[in-house]
Amino acid sequence: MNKRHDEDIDELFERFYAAHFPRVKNFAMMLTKSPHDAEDIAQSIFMKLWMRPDLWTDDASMDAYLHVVTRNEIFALFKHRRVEQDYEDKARASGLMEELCDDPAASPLRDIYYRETLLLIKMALNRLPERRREVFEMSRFDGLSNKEIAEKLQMPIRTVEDHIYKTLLELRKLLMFVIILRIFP
Amino acid sequence: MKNPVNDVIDSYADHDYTDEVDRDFRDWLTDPAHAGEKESGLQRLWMRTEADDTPGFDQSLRDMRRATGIYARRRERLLSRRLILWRVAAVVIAAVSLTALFLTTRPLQQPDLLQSYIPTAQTGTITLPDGTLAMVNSRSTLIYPQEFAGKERCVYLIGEANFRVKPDAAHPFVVKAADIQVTALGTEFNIAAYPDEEEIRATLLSGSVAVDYDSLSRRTILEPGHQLAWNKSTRQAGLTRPDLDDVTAWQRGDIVMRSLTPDEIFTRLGRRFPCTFIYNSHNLKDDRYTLTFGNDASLSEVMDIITRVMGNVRYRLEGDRCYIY
Repeated sequence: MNKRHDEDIDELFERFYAAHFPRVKNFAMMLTKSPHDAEDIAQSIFMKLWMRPDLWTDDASMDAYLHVVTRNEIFALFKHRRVEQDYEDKARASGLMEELCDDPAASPLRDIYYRETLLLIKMALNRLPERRREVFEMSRFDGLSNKEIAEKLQMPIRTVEDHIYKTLLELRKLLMFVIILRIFP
Repeated sequence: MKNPVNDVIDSYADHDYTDEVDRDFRDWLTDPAHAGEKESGLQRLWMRTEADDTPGFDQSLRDMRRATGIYARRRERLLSRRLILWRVAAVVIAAVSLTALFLTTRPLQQPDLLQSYIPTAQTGTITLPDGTLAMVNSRSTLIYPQEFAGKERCVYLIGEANFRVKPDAAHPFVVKAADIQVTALGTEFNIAAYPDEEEIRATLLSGSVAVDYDSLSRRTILEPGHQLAWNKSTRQAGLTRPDLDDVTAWQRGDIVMRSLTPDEIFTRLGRRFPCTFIYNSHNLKDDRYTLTFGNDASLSEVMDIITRVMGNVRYRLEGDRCYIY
């Protein structure tokens, strides 16, 4: 009878699963932003490993291995769902980037981290309180004047100016490192 | 020095964004530019990822146990452990009866229970104290008293067995299995009540039996050739006339599987062959297959045919493990 043996394999695998599954799923969740996708990715990785006891019965280098396979699964998912880039958006944002840099020669447009900078701006805008983002986007992307915005949103023009000022300040802070990189490459 | 690549990864990982930002981030991350820096940014993120717990872990663990078959194997072990408790209970009852004997001087002996477990890849024939013949299938347990006492002849079954009951109209023969019970006078019938199968099936070969099921709240009288199938999870019962040769095939050592899913097929083969089947049920189509093998078929012959029929799957035998992939 091989009962004893079955039990060992089952229990070994469960211990291995409990020790490593949470990190794999959490990591996938932070990057895919979907509990469902993260669960699928993590489970499919462990199901493949279940078939290969030779890999996980020796636990030593498992963490590095899991990082690589998790990353690969996430990349595969992203490439699979890849959609056309929104160039118009980029163009709109790049006008903003010129504005954010005091020195036109140091424009991040020509920077090797152009895409990173663009993404950082986008994410920062995304995290702003709803109202502030609305005001800022109306001003810089839709080209409305402060007065027009104040009328549309039924708020004092001072508040509009304040929103825009604070947002610009925050974005400039964000871009500081790009400028620092240019000065001390 | 701060690195914008790390900043992008970190600020993305730590907050939620609109779909548009999600798309941008995905395109950016999979773009080959700065691949080395992205790699080390991801490595840093990996290192600081919470590793002790994750939302919904209990559910994930349950799903994994089902997909790997760990769940079914554990449930079976749990049941056999419960049987051991049962034995202890029987001894306690015997002890209590003994005390009663002294107190009342009236013989009130509770019979001791015997337990027979038939291991994987075997079948066994047991002659019960009343002369009833029980043929027990692999990985099944039959519990019966040393002597039948009282109005009924009562036995307990986990798994599958065929009974050829010694006629005795005054003492009905009762088989109890899970939440089903079959009462017979003089008759031959087959019960399949494996803990890892959804369905319990009672088939009457000759004579007459009454089947009580649904926690004994419903009763059906079977006619010869009829089978009552009771599904434990959907709580649905169905009456059919199966091919009796199929029902009794296991007694001749034949393997007959009619319209079974891959899961069910490997569960059954796991009883027949001393081998653990390791597979991922997500990779197997949930189609139903009908397969028949003679009693001389070896595991590799059986697997050759099964993988050919299922298509798209292969197997590898390694000692007492069979990997299907």
